[in-house]
Amino acid sequence: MRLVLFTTVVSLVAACSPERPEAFDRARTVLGPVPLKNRIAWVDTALDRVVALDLTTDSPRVVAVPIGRNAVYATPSADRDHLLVITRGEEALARGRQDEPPRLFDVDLTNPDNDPVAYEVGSPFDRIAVSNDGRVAVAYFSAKGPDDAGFFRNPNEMAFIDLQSQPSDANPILKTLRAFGSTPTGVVLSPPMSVPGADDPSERTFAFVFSHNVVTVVDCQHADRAEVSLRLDATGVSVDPQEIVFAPASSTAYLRSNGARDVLQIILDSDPPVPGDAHANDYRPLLAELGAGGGPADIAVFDDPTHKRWVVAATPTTSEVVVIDTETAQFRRVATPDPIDRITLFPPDEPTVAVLSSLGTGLPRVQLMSLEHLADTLQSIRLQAIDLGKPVRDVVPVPGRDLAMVVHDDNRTVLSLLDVTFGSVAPLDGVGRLDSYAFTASGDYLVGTTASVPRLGFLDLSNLHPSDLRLDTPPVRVLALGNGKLVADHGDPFGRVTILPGAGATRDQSIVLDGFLLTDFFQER
Amino acid sequence: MLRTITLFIAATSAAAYAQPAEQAEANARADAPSWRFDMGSSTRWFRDPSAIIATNDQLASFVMSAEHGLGTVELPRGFALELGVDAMWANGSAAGSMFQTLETSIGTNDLLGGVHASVRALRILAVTARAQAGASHVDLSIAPSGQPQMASVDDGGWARTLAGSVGAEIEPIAMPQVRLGFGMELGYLATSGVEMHASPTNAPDPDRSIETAYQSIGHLDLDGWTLRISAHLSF
Repeated sequence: MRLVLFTTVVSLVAACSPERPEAFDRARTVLGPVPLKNRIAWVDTALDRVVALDLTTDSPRVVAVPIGRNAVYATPSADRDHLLVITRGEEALARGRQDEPPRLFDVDLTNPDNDPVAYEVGSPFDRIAVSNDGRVAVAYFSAKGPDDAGFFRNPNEMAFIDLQSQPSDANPILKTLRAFGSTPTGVVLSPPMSVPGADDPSERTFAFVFSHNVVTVVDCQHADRAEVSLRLDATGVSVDPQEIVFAPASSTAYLRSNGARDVLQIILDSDPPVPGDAHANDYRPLLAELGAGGGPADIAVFDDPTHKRWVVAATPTTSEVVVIDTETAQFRRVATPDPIDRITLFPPDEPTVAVLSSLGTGLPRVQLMSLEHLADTLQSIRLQAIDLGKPVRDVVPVPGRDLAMVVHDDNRTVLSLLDVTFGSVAPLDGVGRLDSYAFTASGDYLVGTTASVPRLGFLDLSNLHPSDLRLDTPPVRVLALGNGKLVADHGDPFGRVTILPGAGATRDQSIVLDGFLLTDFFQER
Repeated sequence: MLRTITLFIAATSAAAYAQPAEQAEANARADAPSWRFDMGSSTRWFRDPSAIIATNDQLASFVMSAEHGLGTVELPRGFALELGVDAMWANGSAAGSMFQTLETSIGTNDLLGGVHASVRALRILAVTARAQAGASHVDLSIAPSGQPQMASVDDGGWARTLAGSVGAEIEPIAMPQVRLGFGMELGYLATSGVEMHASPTNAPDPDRSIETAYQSIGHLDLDGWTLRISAHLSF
């Protein structure tokens, strides 16, 4: 008896060690950093959690929020306080595991103690589009389509999620869009807009789904209703939609497509549904071609001080810029010396000047086009050429200022700042390639990093005074938060960031946080 | 291996209860040696999830101890209880992997002192019990595979430790002044958790670097069942 007892005890000693959590034997990748308003978030795909760095106070705080298995994509919400994460889930291939469906997690990082809201989205989508008002999200497959797992694939499937409502049988709504042999290449959500004359006067979000030769419109507030497909190849020309801009006050969208000669105006107009048809829409799209002519390469939309809406379209094949009055569809052609393919408006909220550049040809100049007095057809539209001396590869507007950062080479080693008001150009010399940059929330500083150089470079945009701060290790990316703090991410798989209270801070005022992606690692279950 | 050990302990324990009382009485009367030195190895099966996260291997330790006899107490039925105080040092290590790309390493140095009691059941066989308390220094390293010098976590700390065990010893050479033998003990070692931080091996000089906060990665707790096999010399 004693022998049996003793043998049992010894056997139990070896057998009763707890099982190791499976998470620690998985391959681990980190999604992010995803900059939020005053936080930065990462997603750990092995430990199935969101780790966020909360920089709302003087002392950084690290929070970890568990989510589902196999995170595939993360994006911030419209207000940049939440993180939306799609998880692929897991099939229970071993006894003891549980099946987990693909889900979209809405993680409220302002209240990380609250459980994230999990919406079952049905398929492992790898992209999310979020409306500007944060009410609607659309999960869809990227152009590369579903991943290798699974059996059948349906790249035209989408999930429409009402983020204001709790998950239910009717939320999200899964929908397969009518296809004409093509698959979606992108989804753009409109700002909230109401359909004039419709019985339902509420503002809604419309999803515009791009695919080869087709744009599909879905009313996101009534995603169970039928979608509307707009064939773009009626003339037999192959067309790929590229860009859409909205005029929400008039429920209008302007679509630019590769292969199309003109800008397509899409007006959502009231169309009472057939009684008894629960899936009928209460709107219909009215189409009109705005005469850009020559195939627009870029478009921009703005309202002038009289609230008249204008569309500016660049047609490089005809070396023209076309200015279209959207109320009357009348247009004015402005001949440009260069084949313009990029239009940048200054200032963005009430533009008075358009910077026209030819990125495709890399010409060493830009044109400044005045947007004032466009309605006066007797007054010519002024163009002013600004010689920059070096090819123009990109034009980036500086927030809150009439300045544009001009990139002169593909490696972003040569830059200049264009003052749109005066037409002056200030060349900038750097130590190397500008791998990452950000403008501070106030728009006072440009902050840049080079991967091989352990420094943060600052440029005071009020007087273009350069300064820099030596870091302890080279940064991979610099992020500017809404509260003015700057974060240099060093790309360490366990997390290493240098946090600055603001641009121009000294080393004494900065702090390095190391290993935060492993926070409470040993207490993970 | 475990089965062999089990059978050994079981057999010796069973034999201990079957001894003639006269023989035990004679042994109890014998003069017990004053000093004893042990040397052996120990295996610990971790019980706490934090340790199992760090490694799914067992902790293997080299153990040395010294013991001074306090005397003998006569028990009923002719048994004699030998008591001693001991001091023990153990050096252990365990290695593991994590996320398929990281190597983990746990190192321990245990410094324990306590009481050791044994009852001589036969001339060459004794059953023993041990209770100890002390401290352990626990080291943890997490580094990319093949690059231990690049560890992102290289930290350590002291833990309070309590240990208790029971076992059996065989002394083929058991003379009045010298005994030589070997034994086996099964026990449990409890430690307080050690808070570990993500401090890297190549951490910069604090005087020449930006103030750095190393994030706590939680408490590493190395509680576990232990099996110790050792040889000893008493004189």
